[in-house]
Amino acid sequence: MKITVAGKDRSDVLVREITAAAANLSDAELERLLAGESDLLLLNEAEKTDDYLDQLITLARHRNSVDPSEMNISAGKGIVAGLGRALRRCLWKMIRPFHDWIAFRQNSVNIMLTYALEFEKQERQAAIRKLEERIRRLEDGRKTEGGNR
Amino acid sequence: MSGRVDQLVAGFAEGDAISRDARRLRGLLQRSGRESDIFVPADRVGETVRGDCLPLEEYRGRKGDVVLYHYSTSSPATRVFLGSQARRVVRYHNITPAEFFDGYDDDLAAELREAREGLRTVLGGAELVWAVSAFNAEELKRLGTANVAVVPLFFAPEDACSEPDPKTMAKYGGGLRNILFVGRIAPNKCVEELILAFAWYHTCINPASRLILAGSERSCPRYYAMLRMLAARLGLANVCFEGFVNEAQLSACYRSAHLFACTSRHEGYCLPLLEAMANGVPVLTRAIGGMPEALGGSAAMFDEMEPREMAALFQRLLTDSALRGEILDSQDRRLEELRHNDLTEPCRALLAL
Repeated sequence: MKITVAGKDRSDVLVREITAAAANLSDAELERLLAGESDLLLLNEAEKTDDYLDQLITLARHRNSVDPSEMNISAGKGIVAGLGRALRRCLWKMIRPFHDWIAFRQNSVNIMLTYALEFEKQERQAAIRKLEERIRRLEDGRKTEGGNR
Repeated sequence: MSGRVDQLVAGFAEGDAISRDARRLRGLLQRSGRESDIFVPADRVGETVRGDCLPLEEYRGRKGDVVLYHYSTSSPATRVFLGSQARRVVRYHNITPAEFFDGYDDDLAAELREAREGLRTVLGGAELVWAVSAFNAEELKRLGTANVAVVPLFFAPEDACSEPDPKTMAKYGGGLRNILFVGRIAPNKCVEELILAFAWYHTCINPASRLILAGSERSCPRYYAMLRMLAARLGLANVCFEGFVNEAQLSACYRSAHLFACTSRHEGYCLPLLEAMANGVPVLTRAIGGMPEALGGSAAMFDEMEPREMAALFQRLLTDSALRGEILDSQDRRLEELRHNDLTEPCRALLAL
């Protein structure tokens, strides 16, 4: 790693300090999410648009729902923060049934859209295959016809 | 010699660096008493700038005229340029390597490959070649082009300091630390690296922070979709995809920013770095392509870095006032250099053809 500031190479001090500060950064939830995102970042590796779409549809199928259990009410420090957290938890418990109903309906829409996308792609591929087959037959026919003349 | 000096560009839009460069050059030429217009394929002109250029079909290059072609991608303008009777000049803005777009947009990748294949022919048909950076000029020299001059993008720091849009100022106020990126949302910009670094910064260092991404998403919608999904899955509500911004909104973005960060892996020059500097924003960018040259020994640069390390560097650059002062001083010196760039000199060379 190299860092320059105002045209001067400051790697000797800054790299050491930044590496040490980075090593202290830790968050279990973020790490879990980042590990899950490796599939998404694979989109960067797609060599053809078709590969991209395949990967995207696979991702969409696996990620088409909102999970209310992932709701995280963060803890703060001190009495006020503790009271605030308790209040937020209480409010969350109260609105949870309504939230779950909305999430259920949203997830139903998401699932429908994901399947529509997937089926549409399958249909398109089938149609292309049929057309390619038809072109191939026509070309073969023309060749045979030409040969007979 | 008093013929026309016209320009051909592949596309013309508000906020686009090449369009702005062409517009500024046209202004300089017209002030020198020359007739000068910009010609663009009709289907590649932005709605807001329709009256500011002419359709490519109307271009008539005659003997005694000069035509300057801004080359960055394949375009019908290439055929028109090569067929022109005028004296031909190429302004080379670099071609983004097609590999960045593979998978995201196969047609665009093919267009970029075609542009690179056609580069030698375009250069062969030119009497003079202007590269916007020494980095670009080196690339052309490797192709065997001898008559290359480095003429940076026509940029005056004052151009980047227009009146900011009050609504955008209000939107990005509120005491949060704003990290800004400005540029097309395209795969070569590697915006995902910025989002990953911001995820660490926002989660572990400063929740009162925001990442603003200002730039058109239309050049590669599939890449944009990937970035939106990434930010959504990481729960980063403070990653703000601004999309295309007009001049006033862009100015407001710069005025609201505490740090300008760019993780791009391919740039021929990168005008937003200079715009950020003109607005007094410390710049952090990858030392790659034409960017070190644009910065001219100012700002902060890195080569490779893990997202967690970049987050720690964000924190350092946002809180260490001595370091920020050093960066801002260096940027002011660079802006002073740019102010003294004599833009009329390249114009004279063009008129002397």
